[in-house]
Amino acid sequence: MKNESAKPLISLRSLSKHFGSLTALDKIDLDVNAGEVLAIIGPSGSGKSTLLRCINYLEVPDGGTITLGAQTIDSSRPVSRQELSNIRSRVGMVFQSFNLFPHMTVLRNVSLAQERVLGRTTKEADERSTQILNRVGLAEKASQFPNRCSGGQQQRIAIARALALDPEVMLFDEPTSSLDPELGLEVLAVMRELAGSGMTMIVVTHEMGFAENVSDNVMIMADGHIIEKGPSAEVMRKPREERTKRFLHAVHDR
Amino acid sequence: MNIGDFEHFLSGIVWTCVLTLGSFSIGALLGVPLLVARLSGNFLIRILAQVFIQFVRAIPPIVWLFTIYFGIGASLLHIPPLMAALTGLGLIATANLAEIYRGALNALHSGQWEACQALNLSRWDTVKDVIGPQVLRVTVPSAASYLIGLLKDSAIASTIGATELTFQAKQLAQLSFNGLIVFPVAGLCYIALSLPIAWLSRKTDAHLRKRVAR
Repeated sequence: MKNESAKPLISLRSLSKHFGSLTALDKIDLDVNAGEVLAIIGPSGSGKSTLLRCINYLEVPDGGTITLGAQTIDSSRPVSRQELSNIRSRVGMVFQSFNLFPHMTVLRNVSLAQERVLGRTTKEADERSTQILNRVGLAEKASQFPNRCSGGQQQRIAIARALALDPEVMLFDEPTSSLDPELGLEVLAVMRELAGSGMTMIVVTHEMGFAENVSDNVMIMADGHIIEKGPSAEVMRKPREERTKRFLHAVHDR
Repeated sequence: MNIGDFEHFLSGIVWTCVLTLGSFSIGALLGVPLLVARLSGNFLIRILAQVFIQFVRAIPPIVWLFTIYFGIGASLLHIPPLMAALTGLGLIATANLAEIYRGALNALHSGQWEACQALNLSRWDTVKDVIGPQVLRVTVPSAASYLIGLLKDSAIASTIGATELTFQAKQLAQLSFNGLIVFPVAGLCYIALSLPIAWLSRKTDAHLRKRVAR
């Protein structure tokens, strides 16, 4: 699965986003290789989530380019529905608040987009869903409604739902932040397994253990800038930048 | 009361049902495009829809019926009383149901839309499979209480001569000079009509709540 060529799977160049007078992202340059697991950490309001949400255009950037494989989207011109669909079909996303569909069974949650977007038959989709629910350890929940599942289970279902569409990249926006520590663990275990399988992952997180032990690289953001990026052990143990040290100190002091 | 009176009441009840369900159906259908206009990205369309809704809701129903029946009906084209009442009440129901839909839509977590976008579902599939069914569920209790309100509002159609329940009661009372019996009986009929609506609404709501409690 590892891409041996030098060309990264995702390239962001000069990516910018403003909310009124607030600069959420200030000319971000970032490369992520196929199979790489990148953790993005930093104080709240630093632009981490905005960066993630710009990659699949949930947030429309107001400057710069996004390249995913052979496809480049230039934010200085309007993006077509086809381009949008192309990008989104290759990028899976998991949200802090799970966002499962409460009126559908777990199985239906995972199957719906497979049928509507990939054109799989209900039978094909359900087979795939069952297989993926098995992978996240929740096959027995298939016929339940999401509200019958714990937060950790709901988040694993949300991961299964995204994986069922066979994405090339998975984006995780603080996937464990609304879970208590024990339930967070089961989600992290699924993510660790996914990372081990070679999935390209960008993970915005406050889980320092995941950043240090599971991810290949760690990136620290503050005020819409990248403060520091490098191999996780280096950044987490021997940070170069003063801002990084301050942030890690604050986290460890808790 | 004799058999003939009973028949009058019965036909009144039928027309009250036709008026109520008819105008509610008009509102339930036309409320959807009105809601879409109300939420349109186009400023002009959005403002027009908003003004329309405010305008329709601010004027008492009886004034609408008089405008349509005695105004338009008398000068431009002849409209039978029941049609005039159906048009007026349908118009009012459209504005009110559009607002009820909008309230339900606002109650949905924005994450539902985002999840659909991230899953690359089309706009249509998003509305059809995810947003629509949830809005419908949130709408049930308020739409049902609006329907009961509409049932009572339909009585004003008697003022333009639509032969619904209150109109029939008024006729009977005038003929028999027995208003003290006729009108309470009409009142009981309204109660009897609203009971199944309330019951069905509670049943539906409880059923849906059991499945998608949040």
